[in-house]
Amino acid sequence: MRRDTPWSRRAFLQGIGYTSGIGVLNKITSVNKIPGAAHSGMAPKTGFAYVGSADEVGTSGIHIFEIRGDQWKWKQNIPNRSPVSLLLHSNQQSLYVVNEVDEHEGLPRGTVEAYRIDAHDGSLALMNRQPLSLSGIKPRHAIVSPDGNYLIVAIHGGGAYNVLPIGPDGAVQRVSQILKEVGAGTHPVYQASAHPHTVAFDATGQYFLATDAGCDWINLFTFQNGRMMRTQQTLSQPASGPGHLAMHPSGKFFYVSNTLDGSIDCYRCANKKEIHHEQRIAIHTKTASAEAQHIVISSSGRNLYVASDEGISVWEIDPITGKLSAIQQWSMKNRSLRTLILSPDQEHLLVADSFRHELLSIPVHTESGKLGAASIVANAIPFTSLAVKYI
Amino acid sequence: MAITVTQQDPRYQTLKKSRNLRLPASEADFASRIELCETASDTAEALQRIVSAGLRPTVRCGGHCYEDFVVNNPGGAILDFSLLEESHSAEDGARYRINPGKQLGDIYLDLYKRYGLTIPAGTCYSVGAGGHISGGGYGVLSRLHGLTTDWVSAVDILTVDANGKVIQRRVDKQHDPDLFRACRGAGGGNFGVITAFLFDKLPQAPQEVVHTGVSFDWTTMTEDRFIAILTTFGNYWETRGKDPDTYGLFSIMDISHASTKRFGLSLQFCNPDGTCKDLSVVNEFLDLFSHCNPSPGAPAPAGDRAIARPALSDEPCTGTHPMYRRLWLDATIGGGGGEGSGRAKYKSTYMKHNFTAEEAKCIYKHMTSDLHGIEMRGFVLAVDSYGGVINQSHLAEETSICQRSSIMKLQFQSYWQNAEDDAGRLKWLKDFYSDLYSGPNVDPRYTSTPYPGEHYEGCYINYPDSDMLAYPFWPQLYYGDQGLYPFLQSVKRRYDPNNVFHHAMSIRL
Repeated sequence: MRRDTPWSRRAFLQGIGYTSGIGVLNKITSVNKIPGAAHSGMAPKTGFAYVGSADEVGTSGIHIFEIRGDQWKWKQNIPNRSPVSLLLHSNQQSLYVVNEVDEHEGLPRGTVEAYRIDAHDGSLALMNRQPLSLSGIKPRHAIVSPDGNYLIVAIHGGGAYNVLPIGPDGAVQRVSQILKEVGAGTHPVYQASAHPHTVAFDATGQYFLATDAGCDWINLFTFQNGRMMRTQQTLSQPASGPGHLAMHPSGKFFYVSNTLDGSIDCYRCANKKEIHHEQRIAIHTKTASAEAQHIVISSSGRNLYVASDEGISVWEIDPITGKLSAIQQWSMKNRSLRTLILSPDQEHLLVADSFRHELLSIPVHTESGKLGAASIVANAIPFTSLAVKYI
Repeated sequence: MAITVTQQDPRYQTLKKSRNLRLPASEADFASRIELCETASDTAEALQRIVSAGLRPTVRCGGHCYEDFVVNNPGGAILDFSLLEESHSAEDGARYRINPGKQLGDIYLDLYKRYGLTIPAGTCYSVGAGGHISGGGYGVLSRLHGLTTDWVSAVDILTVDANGKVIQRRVDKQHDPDLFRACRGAGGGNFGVITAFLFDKLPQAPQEVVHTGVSFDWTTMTEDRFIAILTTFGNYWETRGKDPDTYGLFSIMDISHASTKRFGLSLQFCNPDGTCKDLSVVNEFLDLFSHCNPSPGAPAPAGDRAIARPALSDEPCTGTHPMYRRLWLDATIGGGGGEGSGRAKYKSTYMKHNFTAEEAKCIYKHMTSDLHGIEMRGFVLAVDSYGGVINQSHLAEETSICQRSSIMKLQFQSYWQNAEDDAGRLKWLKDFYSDLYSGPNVDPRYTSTPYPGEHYEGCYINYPDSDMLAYPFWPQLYYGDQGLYPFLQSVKRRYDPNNVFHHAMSIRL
């Protein structure tokens, strides 16, 4: 495996820091004041945001916000057990929730849930809850297949993948396939066993990639007729702990944020059969952590965004090689930026600050991909996961 | 090479099943294939194939698991040991080897005919050795000779290392002693696949035994007399039953529902030397019930486990109480039952002391109550004598059976045929159990359970009860609260870090 020269963040432009005078509120609020809107003159976007939250004392739920332009209005909170990952069905009518729990009805297994989204007011109604396979504890991530017919869950704690069909009504059906992983890495604490972390489909839905933070594997699976089959494994840097994964829209490249050493790897996926490592960027040095930096790629495929405790780094993606070049370091002090998504129109980056319990909206420059000034759209919630739909 | 039976194979529909037709709960939960292993090397190869394919292995020896730990394996594979060929002949003239796929009845026959030896294991002929011994293994000779697992000297086991490679190990007190201890009582399906139990020595089989019993009429029963019967039984094991000359006495009080008209006790006895020359212990024991208006002879066993009924060839003994002298081997393999294939549910309790009057009243109340729409026959509370040689305290540290102070072990049983009765049957038994353990003997923190303490020693892992999973302290019910469960978790982390071997009540990482 090739290792590239560590990236120096001094090379980045200094981003525009958050300077709002809005203080931390004592209760859940939505914040209406947005400086520097990037799309003046346009009809305001409307939609709904679904925000998973979990605090240290175990209170957790899904908060629903109504979005009108840059204004977020809190509407509803649904109690929920550790909603670590939220994902929308491609038809925008269902929301799926991954519950990072280690027990369900007395048995060691996590759960996933399907909610029906009210088309008018965005409210959620639980359709059903499905347990994962036995020993499938603490799942962290899932993805809906591009055809909308299956949910694939990466079970971090239990070391397995589960496939669950999605019914015509959007409800999630019982587990139809279990793939039990085995393996270990060299880190004595975090890599004693397999820990599937993230799954990501290619646009065709014929294969998907999965990272395993426990044994440093990048896995390539074919997916046909609702069944997954491993076709290749590529070993990442030992003790790196591959975590979040973002697939390039072209399907030719993908990027992995590593949990244990804070690096970002670029891989090329050739002919949907082979994985080649292209580039490694050391964002910063980590001593020990089980949290990977969240990453997201713009739908244009031009930019990669990486969230960290120090801000957000913005990268330009070479369309030929897939390699990354730094174009901006967007900094905020005393922050711990975690969950990171792009708004459906790609005009804002939405990022949760787990330190200050704030949700930030950051305008994205249409051409350059660089970030503008942040504003708080919600606060007083320990955010863990996020999904947004526009109407 | 193991014989692979897939869903397309006509044998699949037969071989996928559990003896307990209640299990698994859904047709979709059945394993996708069965691997019939004929040798230990077959097993290693099949296990490696299963693990490498990302499937979950479960292991079946006799198929008697009380819960769905084996057959509930959707998409996975069952390693079936019923064809495992190695016999339990002496190994190198020094050790006795027991193949986990062998049925207890066959083991009794083989060990006796070859060596005149036996294992102090259970009464059901068709129970497989693997699960039975790894969970403890007790039977009518256990007060005299201890648990079967107490005699185990070494274990051959396949484990799966962190990288998914199958490792063959022989574990004993010198080699992987932590895993060896865990294999002696923690229960099956936790750490790996046991392919052999090895014994440096085994107890001599008795030459002969006597069988007898008494029964009581439910139709004329009163609560006071019921209490007297139950506490008389319990008091014996708490007092006189602790004397070594009584260790050859094993008795089961089968309390069936009142609708069966009769209930009673059966017993097997031999003197410590394996003969029945002196029957004074039996007469003394039966005399205790003379004031309870008994009828001679044990009632027909209601469950699938019991001390064998007398046969015509048995020799009547002279004396006050009718009893029959039988050759031990005939008595042991002659009527053990265990062939039932209906629906069933079980619960268990280790008891350190005699029944209190409140407990006896509670049992009486439930065994005389009716449940609308439910056939009440088939509910049995079997109260087994316990203790004797089992209760050597040092064995709690050497094995993974921590219950070394109990004088009785209770097995709550329910048997029925129709799936429509599942809910009512399960609820009745659950309510009975919960009610019995909600009295003043139970710490309010652990209400509805026999949590280990002054009165109880929890539950038996070979009588697993998934209802106990509702309690966060369920591991302490089965493994106590003196450090055994954390020890077993450390063994699990070391030898099965990826939790390849798991079921609803397996040791959790």
